[in-house]
Amino acid sequence: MLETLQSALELFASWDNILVLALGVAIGTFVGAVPGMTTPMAVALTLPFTFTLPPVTGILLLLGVYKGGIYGGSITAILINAPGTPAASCTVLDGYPLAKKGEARRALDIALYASCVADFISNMALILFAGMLASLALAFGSPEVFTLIMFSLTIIAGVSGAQLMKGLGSACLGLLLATIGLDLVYGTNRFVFGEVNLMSGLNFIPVLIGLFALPEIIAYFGRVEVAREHNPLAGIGASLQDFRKCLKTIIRGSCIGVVLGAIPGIGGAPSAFLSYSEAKRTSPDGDKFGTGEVEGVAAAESGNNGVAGATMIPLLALGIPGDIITAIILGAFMIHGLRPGPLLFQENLSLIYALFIGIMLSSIYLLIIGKLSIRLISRIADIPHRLLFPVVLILCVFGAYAVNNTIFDVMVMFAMGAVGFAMLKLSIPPAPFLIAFILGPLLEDNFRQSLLLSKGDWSIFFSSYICWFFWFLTALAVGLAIWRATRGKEVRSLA
Amino acid sequence: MSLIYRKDFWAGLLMLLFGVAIVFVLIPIGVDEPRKVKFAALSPSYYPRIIAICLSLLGLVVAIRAYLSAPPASETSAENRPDGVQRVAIIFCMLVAMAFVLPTLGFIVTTTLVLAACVWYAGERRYGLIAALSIGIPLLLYFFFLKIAGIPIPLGVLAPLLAGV
Repeated sequence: MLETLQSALELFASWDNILVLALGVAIGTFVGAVPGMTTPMAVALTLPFTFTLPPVTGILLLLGVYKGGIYGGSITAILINAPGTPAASCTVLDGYPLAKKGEARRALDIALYASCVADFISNMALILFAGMLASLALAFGSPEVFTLIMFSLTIIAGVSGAQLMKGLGSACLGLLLATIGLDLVYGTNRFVFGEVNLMSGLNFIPVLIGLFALPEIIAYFGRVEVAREHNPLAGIGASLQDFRKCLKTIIRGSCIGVVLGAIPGIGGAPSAFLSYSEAKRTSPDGDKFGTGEVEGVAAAESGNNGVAGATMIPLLALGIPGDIITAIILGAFMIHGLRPGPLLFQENLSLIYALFIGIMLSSIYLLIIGKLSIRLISRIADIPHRLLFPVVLILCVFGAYAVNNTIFDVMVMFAMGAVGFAMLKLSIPPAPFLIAFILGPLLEDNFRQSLLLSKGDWSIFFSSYICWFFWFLTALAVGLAIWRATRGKEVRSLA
Repeated sequence: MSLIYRKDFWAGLLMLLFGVAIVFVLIPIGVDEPRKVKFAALSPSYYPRIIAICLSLLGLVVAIRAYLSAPPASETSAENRPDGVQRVAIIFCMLVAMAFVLPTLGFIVTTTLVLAACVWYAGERRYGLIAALSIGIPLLLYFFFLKIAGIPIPLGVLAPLLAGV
């Protein structure tokens, strides 16, 4: 144990890691603060820059962007009533009224403190529980992994929102796209059509950039540019008394974030809203929520940020991405030849510990960079989209090329951009597509390996308690998704 | 049918047609079957066929539900420009042109031209700023990838000028 910790410290202790993590948090905070730019987009665009970095450095850069992005979304939510990320939409409820009252600085300070505390608690949960879960997962064979991935695909229901059926269709498209290349068992061509570049399958980065960044850029040219309201920083910062008043709410929100974050597919937004409603229900100032109450900001931000570390628990322990950003980070692990899951804990424990050290440091960076950046970022958020989006387009082109040094990947990105734009116009959610595309090869591999073992007998997928457990969870998740979709429809029809 | 349901109808129809096309066209011509397969489930076309069938069924359900749904009121989105379709088409043409000239002109020249065109088309009229951005950003990215990440970027027509830099 001590030896592993020592080698992890050696692995982590370099200026590159320390600086790259700070850079990641700064990039994430900046991008998260720009309305129209999303955290997945930021992580996707940063990914090509990690190829030549060592695995720990590259993954820490992405984790920094992730953490910074979640906090950054709250800055514009408070200042200009425009949440930079969907998860920050709850922060608007009390943050913007506070800014309108001239207390923007106080709201931003509380949002930052709540984010840092929640992030820290979430990271602690990750460190405590990921290893335990991974040791349980060592008993998994092919059928168990197949049922586990089937369950993890139910996160599609979570990321599909109100479009469940179209989300499932989107996932089917992703699974189909993942079959391009050489067949896993026989080595014959599948959907290659004589194109040598397709034999190894499509790289996920051009697909990712094409699906997430390009459609937004293309759609921007067809939209009216809305003049954004600028709200200069005003008022004094939060006092210690403010922080003390909110501490209970922050801890409760962090715990809600940890629990919901560890369940694949829930995400930051529901956690923020649940934390907010709990705080409103229990606070003596509950009736003031929505009119500019610091406790409301603290509740929303702690719920939102409490998710950040916890979503890494299923990713590191089982290799299941909990949301779209962890799906991208899973891809980053794979690019560096690493496969998150129980075996990583056995074979590369020092790397895991080095990541844990970095993750803990990211909470401190978040506090420092967040504090320093509040004034600067309120100006950066004013960069007009007419300059920002074309620059992002060029960044996409360079990023897609850098994956394999081939222009073919740039073409793939453009093609996926067209697909993504069509999906945007038809309201087909792209997140299920990407998650299925990443998990697809693993699903097929274990599906066929199991059938090879059982000589074509499907009962192998029900051959152990673990399989039954995951089928039960899958049925439960699907049932819940259907119930939520029907209830949502009823609510909409009543409205 | 209103906008949202019309969208759903087309989305469902496209999913259905794509799934059918995979089962009946793309799998027969695009998947090389081995001469002998131990079990049907191990065939290279088995798994994509199952997914394509699921896609078709989902598409059918989405299209039928959209067709049978009652139309609500709203028809157009206020945030779209009146000439939005034309502008999006022009951007698509620009991207296709970019894909064609990229191997010949190289990354720096192509992205400089595209960046300048996009910023201008997006409404920026400060020509000094357009020039600074469209020259500065591609050069910055080129040197970042070359010098820091160690990834050579194709220079195209600029190769004689920048190859040794």
